[in-house]
Amino acid sequence: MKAQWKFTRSRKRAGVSVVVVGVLALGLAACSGGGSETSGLDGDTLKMYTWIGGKADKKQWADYVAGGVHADPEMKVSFTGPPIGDYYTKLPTVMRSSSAPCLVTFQNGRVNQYVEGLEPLDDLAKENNLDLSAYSSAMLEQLSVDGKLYSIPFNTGPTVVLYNKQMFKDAGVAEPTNDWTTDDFIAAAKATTKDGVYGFAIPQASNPIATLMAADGHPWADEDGPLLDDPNFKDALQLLVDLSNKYKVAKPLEAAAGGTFPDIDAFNTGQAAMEMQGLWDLQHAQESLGKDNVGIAVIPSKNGASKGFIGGSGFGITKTCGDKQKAFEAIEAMTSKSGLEFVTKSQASVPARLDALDAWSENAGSPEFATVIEQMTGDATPSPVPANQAELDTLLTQYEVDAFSGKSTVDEVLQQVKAGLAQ
Amino acid sequence: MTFVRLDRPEEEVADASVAPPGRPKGRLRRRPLGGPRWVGWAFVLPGLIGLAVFIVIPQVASLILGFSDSTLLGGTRFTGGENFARLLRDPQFINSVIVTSIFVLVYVPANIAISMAMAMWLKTRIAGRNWIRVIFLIPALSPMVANAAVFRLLFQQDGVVNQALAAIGLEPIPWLSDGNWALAVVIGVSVWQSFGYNMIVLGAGLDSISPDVIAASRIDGAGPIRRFVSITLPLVSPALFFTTVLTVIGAWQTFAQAYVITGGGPGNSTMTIMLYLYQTAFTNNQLGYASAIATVLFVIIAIFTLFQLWGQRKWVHYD
Amino acid sequence: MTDQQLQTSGLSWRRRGRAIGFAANTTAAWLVALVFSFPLIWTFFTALKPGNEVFGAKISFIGSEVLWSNFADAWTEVDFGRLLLNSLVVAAISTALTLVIATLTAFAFARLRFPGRSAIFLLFVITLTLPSEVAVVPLFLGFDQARLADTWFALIIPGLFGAFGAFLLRQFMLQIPGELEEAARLDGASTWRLLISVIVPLVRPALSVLAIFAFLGSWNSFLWPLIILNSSDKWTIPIGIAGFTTQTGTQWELLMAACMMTIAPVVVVVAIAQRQLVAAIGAGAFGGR
Repeated sequence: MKAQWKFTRSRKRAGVSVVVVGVLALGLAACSGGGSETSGLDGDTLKMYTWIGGKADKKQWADYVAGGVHADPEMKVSFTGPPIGDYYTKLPTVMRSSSAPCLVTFQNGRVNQYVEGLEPLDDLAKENNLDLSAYSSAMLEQLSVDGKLYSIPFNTGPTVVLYNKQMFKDAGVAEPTNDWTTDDFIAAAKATTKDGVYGFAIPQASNPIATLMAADGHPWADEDGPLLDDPNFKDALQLLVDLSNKYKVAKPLEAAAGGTFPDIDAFNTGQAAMEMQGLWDLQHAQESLGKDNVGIAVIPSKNGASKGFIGGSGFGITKTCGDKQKAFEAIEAMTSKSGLEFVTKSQASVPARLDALDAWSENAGSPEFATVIEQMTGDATPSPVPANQAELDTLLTQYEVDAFSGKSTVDEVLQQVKAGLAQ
Repeated sequence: MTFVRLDRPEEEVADASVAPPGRPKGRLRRRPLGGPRWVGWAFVLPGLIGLAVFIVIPQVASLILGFSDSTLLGGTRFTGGENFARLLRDPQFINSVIVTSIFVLVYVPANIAISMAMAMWLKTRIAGRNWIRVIFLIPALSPMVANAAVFRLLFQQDGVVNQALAAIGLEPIPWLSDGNWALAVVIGVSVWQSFGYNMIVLGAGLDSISPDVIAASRIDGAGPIRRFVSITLPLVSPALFFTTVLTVIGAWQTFAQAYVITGGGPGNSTMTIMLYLYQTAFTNNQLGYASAIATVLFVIIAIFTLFQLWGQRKWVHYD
Repeated sequence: MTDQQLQTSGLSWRRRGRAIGFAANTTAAWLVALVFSFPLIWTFFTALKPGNEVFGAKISFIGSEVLWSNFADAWTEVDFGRLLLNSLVVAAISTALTLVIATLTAFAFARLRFPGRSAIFLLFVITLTLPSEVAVVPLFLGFDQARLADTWFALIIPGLFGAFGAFLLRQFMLQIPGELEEAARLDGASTWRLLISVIVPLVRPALSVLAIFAFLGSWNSFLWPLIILNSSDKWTIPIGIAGFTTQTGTQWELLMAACMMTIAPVVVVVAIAQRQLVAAIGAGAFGGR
């Protein structure tokens, strides 16, 4: 009896302590958020949060850190993070949390949504005498918002056409030249479409449209957002639809989850002879198809004088970082000439610094690659990055499928996207 | 039922002999928290507190957020009922309600009917039927990511399903390019993945029906249909009610399948309410608006559930 | 046919008819099971293919090579051993605690009277309808403020209090006849004793069912672990599986291999537990209505 009495009393106690803990937790939660004393450092190692899927991603970041250490032996950076599909979802919660990192990474145009948590880098750059002209100016523009720079680029890539040399040879098609036109492109695609494989793999969302528009020198967006009413925008999307429905050189786009890349999958498994992606895909393509089997070409343009569309990724510093100077020094090291040159030994992505391009050509690329890149980066169509890039991509990915299935015209699709963005 | 007062254990036996519940005699000293009532409280308190702290309070916070404009990295700004007014005018939201309604109206009956049928079938003599049960349960054991990935592979334009159709001379179906077919695929993977759960619960309910009752009805001359309708159904109705309520609730909250297979497309033909909510919150960074959507969803589900609870009195046969 | 007629037609006919019926029934059931498991079969075969044969115009069951090495590759690609361990531990703890809490709560609703019981029960039922995914953000903020983000505690605790368990157990407890309880009380059982020795054994099937649901709920949980966990050494399987989609595409064959490795151990466990489940249900726990 006594035991049972004790039991019930201790249960009451347990109950009470749970209440107390709960109230405390809530009380703390009720206090205004932010302002927590986060440092983003582990001892003197800077914490970096980035996208990490499998081994390839891990190796990439390990290489960049190694490059930074090569340039500055004092640099210490550790990294962790979710796969790319979840990275941008998790980023705000991580930046707000008590274990927020010092360093974060961004792909082109994704900086906008997070500027409230990022430290503008212009002052730090001045204080550290960092010569920003060494970096591709188009890239710097993409990583700036309202004139303030929030991220320093480490790789850059114009979007290019990657092609499977073997498939071209088997079809007897000459490899693309630096002045090939859209008609040449379609012809090549037609010739390589046979035996159940396609000539081209169509990418989703806004990147291919922006790229095609840029090739002819038309910017795809302005400060107010994407130029959905611009006839060039329609033409670009129409070309993609035609490639599948009219010329039958590509598989039509289907409904797909965000953060997946069916076109990359198709190209890397030999299901398509060409794809249109950023240069960062070169590494994986080389690993899948053979280093000497992958060629790159400029984007086909209407008149053959193709201009580039720049993308790339960069490092940023969080506002909550406890030692921003140290973080900046780390970024400096990882994006320095010697750091990026070091990386080119094992990573095929193109460095964001123009003076590291030679090392890249030597180690990862080839002279023919270099000419393509020079043309695409040297003569790029500048384009501001719309603030609603993520929403735009989601809506486009959803609605463009209707154009491929014939359910809607390209006009109607763009209207739908426009209506969705207006929300 | 007689009450036993725990604080007076020595009086247990004496009290138990008193038939009607009422104040037992001889109550001289009372404990401060006197009465058996706090026993009930003691047992319910852990669950209740956990519920309050980890479920109710965040939901209330979410409800409040619905009346504001909020972003994760920015601040929160009170805006009153603006979000709700916007919802009524938002064609995307209205569409998501329609899409989810269609999903519920097709998925729930299909799920329940199939689980019931399989539960009954697996009560008959089948060699290795335990293994069959395991097989039906397997999809429920794997993460939705896995199931969705497989269904994606199968239902692509040149995937296995279409190739099989071609092999028997049929036209390939635009599974993921056509809105209606895409929704069918989403419903299909949902039923495939989850009827195993319900089959188990309904099986337990069926097992509770005494075979004597069935035998008696047989002797009375009742045919199989009559037996099912008048005997089996009423006797299994508690379990049936339980599974239906939960299946409906789950159906309204469909998210993962649409997110992983179609991303809401083609167009917005598979944009369920939860998917729209998720996009609003995390892609468009509008936490306040997303919270308003959550509140409306809650109201919809509450209406359905209350209706079913009310109907319980009429349809469910308890002992 | 009445028994009389059956008897006069001969026992052997009856037996033959029964045997044919049994065989037909079994075959039909297994056919259905086969069709049903086709996606899983496909997963298995895809896991063995080389990467560039997952898609294509002519897809066959078996690729040009049978790559058992895909399993090893998938294992190392995302550190699968760690993921598996984490998932198992978290799921086991969640299940155990969920059972305890649900039992206590359901017992209170089903068998004990206390003021406010109906109101609290209504509250529980209402929470069944709340979409849990949105509450994720306020919940995360709460844990973060309490400096409990990225901890096992934060990962496990919120999932223990779902009203589902209490609801389920209450349904089954209500079916236990009141006489049993009266008899126990008469024998001098306290409330606690009543619960442990009388009620719990009688709802064992329901407990098994709840255990399965709780385990699966934890095993497949994706959004909450994603939000609350930062360190990759605490990740559970669903998050890890997403890692096969990198910034340069998806390795489908490895993803399928990982799915197989995820499903296999759980299937084994359920296959074993199935016997006990069926035995428990069959033991007539519901017999005494």
